[in-house]
Amino acid sequence: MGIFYAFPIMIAAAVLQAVFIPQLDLIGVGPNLIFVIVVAWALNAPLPQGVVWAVVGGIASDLMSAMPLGTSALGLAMVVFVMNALGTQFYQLGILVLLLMGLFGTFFYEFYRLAMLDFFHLVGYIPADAPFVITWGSDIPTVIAPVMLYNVAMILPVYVLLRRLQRRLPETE
Amino acid sequence: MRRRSVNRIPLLIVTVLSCIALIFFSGGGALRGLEGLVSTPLNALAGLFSGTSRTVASLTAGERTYEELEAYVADLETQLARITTELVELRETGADYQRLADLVNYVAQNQNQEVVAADVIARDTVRALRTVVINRGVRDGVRVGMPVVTGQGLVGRVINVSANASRVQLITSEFSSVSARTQTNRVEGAVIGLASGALRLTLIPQGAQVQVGDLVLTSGLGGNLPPDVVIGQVTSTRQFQSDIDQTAEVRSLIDFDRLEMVLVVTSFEPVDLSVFEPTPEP
Repeated sequence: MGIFYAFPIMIAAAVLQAVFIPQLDLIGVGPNLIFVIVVAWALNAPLPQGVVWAVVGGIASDLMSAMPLGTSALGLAMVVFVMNALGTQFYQLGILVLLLMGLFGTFFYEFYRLAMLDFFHLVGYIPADAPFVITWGSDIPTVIAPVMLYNVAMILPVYVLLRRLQRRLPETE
Repeated sequence: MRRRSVNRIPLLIVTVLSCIALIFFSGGGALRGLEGLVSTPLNALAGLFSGTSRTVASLTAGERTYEELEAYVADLETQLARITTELVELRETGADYQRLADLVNYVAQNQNQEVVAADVIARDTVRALRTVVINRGVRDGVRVGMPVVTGQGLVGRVINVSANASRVQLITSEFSSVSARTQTNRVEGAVIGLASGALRLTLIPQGAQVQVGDLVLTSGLGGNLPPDVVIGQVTSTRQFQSDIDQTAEVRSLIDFDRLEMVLVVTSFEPVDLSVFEPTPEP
């Protein structure tokens, strides 16, 4: 049942991410709503369900972007797999694990997306007429670090909302 | 995570392979039709909500005037709701008028160009890419490569078109490079986007005189963009003896984070120079 919720929630999140988040004008970057929702949902969902949320969210995100379809899905799915693997080690530390996942998961995911941008530029998947160069020294503090902070700030309220929804769902999976 | 025994490895392999296949086909352009079809309702939704988001943004942006209004409304409590609503509407109308006046001004100055006005309905979910979606597509005569401008200057180029929407790569994108020249000394170079969203004029020959305050215009070299469209203004220059060329920081007059209305120059067709490129020996 939880799988079917992925479609409306992720489509709504993608539209919010593309329309509302940029209007917040937060020092050039904003929270990654889709990432936050996937992580918050996957923490208490079975692995296959978490992967479906990651893939649906990733595709919705890529449809609102110039990124090739599947790029964000792959990154989010990897985050969910890592979460699942680590989650079994830290079962008792729910909230702490959530915040740590938000922090380090964001770092991994944003790092991955920048690296993929570099790769897509190399293979010509993104239209470009400039030599795109990632300057990690400046991109990590100016692009990745603020998103990490925004995501950590958002993840707890989003988790609480989604947990309420999850508790109402029948245990079919 | 719920503790349930799920064999991770097959699921991981299937997911990763599916995503890589999707990236491969999508990046190669094989899924363009399908992507256009699926993104059409998403773009329509984005268009529907973009008006609301602007109203919300204008409410949060106008804090100072709102406080002034509060003092005024203290005397006129009964009219509070009406005045607040009216003010927001008027501010939106005023902003729209200013933007339209800029666009009309651009059209009046460039009567040889055919343009299509468009609203910005969404921004790239990957901020580093710096692209926006506009609500005009093939049906309105928009094609890939067409320049996009406002009354303040160059916005970018169309890189993707669907039936009723187009994706525009902003000149602030790190993937963008625009042939440019300064207005006063006709010094040529290339304006590139930086990770911070700023612009930099590069490839300026050593010894060329670039002054702070100079207007930077498109040069038209390369045939990708029409000449003499304003890109921005030089704010500082950098010249090192050890470098082959010098650079200058350029500030666009456009606030790319608050871009709402643009013009697509539909009468301009990019020149295909690929025939002049040397072909490798067999």
